[in-house]
Amino acid sequence: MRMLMFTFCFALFFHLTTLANDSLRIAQAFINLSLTNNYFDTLSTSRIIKIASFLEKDLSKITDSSLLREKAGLYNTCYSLLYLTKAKLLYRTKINPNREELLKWKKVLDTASYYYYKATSTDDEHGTFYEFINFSSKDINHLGYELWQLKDVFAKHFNQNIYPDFKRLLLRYKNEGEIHLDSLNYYAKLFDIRLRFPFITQNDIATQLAGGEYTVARALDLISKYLQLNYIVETNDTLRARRIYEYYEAFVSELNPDNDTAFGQVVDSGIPLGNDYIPKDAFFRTELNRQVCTDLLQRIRIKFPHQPILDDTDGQGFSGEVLPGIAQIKYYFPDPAPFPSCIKAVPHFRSEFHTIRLTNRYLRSVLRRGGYEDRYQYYYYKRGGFAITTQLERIFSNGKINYNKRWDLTVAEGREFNLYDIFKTIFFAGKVEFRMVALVVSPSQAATTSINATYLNLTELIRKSYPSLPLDLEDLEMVEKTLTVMIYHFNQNDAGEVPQLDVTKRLSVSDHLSSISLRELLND
Amino acid sequence: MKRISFQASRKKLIILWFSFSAAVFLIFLIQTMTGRYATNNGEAWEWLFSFLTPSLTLMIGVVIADVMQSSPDVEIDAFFYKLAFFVSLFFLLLLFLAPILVPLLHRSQNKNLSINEQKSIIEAFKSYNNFLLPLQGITMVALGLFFSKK
Repeated sequence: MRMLMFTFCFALFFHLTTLANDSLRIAQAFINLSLTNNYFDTLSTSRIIKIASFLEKDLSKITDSSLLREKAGLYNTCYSLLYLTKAKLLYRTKINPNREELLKWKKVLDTASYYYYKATSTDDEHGTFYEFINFSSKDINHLGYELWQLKDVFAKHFNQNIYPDFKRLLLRYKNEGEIHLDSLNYYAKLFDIRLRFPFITQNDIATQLAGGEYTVARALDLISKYLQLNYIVETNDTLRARRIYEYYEAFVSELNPDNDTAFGQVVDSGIPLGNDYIPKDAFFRTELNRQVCTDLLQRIRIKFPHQPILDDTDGQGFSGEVLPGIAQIKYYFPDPAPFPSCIKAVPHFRSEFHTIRLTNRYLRSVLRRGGYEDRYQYYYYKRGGFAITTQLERIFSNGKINYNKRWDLTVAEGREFNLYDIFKTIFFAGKVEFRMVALVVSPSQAATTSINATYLNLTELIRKSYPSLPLDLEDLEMVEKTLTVMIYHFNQNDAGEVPQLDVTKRLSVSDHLSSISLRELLND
Repeated sequence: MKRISFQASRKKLIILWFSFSAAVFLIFLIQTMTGRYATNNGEAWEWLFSFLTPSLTLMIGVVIADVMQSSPDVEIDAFFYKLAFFVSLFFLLLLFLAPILVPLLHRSQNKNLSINEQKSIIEAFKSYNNFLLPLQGITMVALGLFFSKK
């Protein structure tokens, strides 16, 4: 019995000592790692190595699982700080790292990020212990900022490392006619660089946003875009060529081929770009200069003469006269327009944009932010200017976007068929509401008829349009202009019912635009 | 050949018809109140009554005529009763299922169709007629035989 009591007491004592020791270890590690990071520049490399290896051993001794659960935030912060220190050390000790070493840098920094994300996803109970060691959420935020800064530094090295491969792939296309977009992707993925293929993935937002912890350099992005444009031309991909003139314009504007040392303004980039990672060098001056751009444009014009979405001449709806050269058929936005659900005019709209090209570029960026990328079409406007309509989108009755089914104008019910769905189908009609936004940029406010727009009107209007701004409109000067915003809001009571224009005026233009982040159009 | 009381079997048939009719009527009423038929309420009711009215008026007519004449009960061949009963039961079951199956049929008909191609729920009711119309004919003949055997 006495023996048993002794064993129990010893076990209790041992457990309490371990608990106290583990708490102390975490506290000590956090304080030391914070100090090491704060005074990193003043400490010698050998000293930091000693501190890091000692603390790593110390942290690995912590075994109490309940303590690890209780102080998960602090524990993960310690590990993140440890790996951040190691990453900084690697950066300090290597001047010209090769690819293998850079991959090691990445691995260490990624580990730091991993623990940082774990730290942010746990919520420790704060108390006197944390007050004593001065640990708070501010420390985690600061750690995140430091990681972000180091990632930016590393990204520059990663981009520089794969730049020769990108140059090689560009030259390979020029010399041998082979386009290897997959190889570009391979090199970018090596370092988890966020390289998109916006011209060929188009609406595939999932692909565009997929992966990528490190920022891509402007130079690499431009090489990729040049190859994407050529890919569309070479593969004769008419579907992807719908907006090729827009893509080309964006590419040239970003490349800025008339300037030998600086890239141009970024047009509609959904991701941040590393502007200063790789400067505009001799390679760009020789391989991606004005002449190369002109050649590319010529090839685009031969392969894809500027065509409207619907190339027919049946003379119905909104088609107009034949104009040789630029666009075979002129599709006009109706003037007066069919009566909308609501309308608002913005006089003196963006007078700083003195050409239609600039106004269009602005509208395009706003539409893109509203989620309409590749979901709008263009028209001529008889009184001068141009018009844009968005595609019909599904909305809720308060005007907010029905994100799950935004572009699905088929049956109201979901694709799945569970008991709730069956009940709903039996007792309730599948009501659908949808909307089209029309933007008319013209010298004066667009007029409307007194006859309500019908669903057929709109589908016909969308059908007979251009995928991008007609080229002959681009350089037209238009300083004084009015933007007329018209909203066509339709209700369909049930599948198979004729959709009716909502003219109850319960939602204003402002309400509609606010729900799709286009409110800024009215702020002029 | 088994013979049964005409009045007792007529009573059973009337109960069958009126109870099923009331049930279908109730479901249609609820669906109308929840807006299931949207702007097609009138057409939906018209569809329902086109199947119920002929048989119900026939039965009510016979009952009224009987009350007026106060004729004594007779025995009839059980086969005609059973035929009328089971054909009616099958028909009424299909009719009862209509307000449940037609919306589902409507949904599956319109699956993946754009707004321009969609069909209204009345079209779905018309598709359902393909089963009901022939059966209604058979039911009416069976009921007619039963009542004529008095």
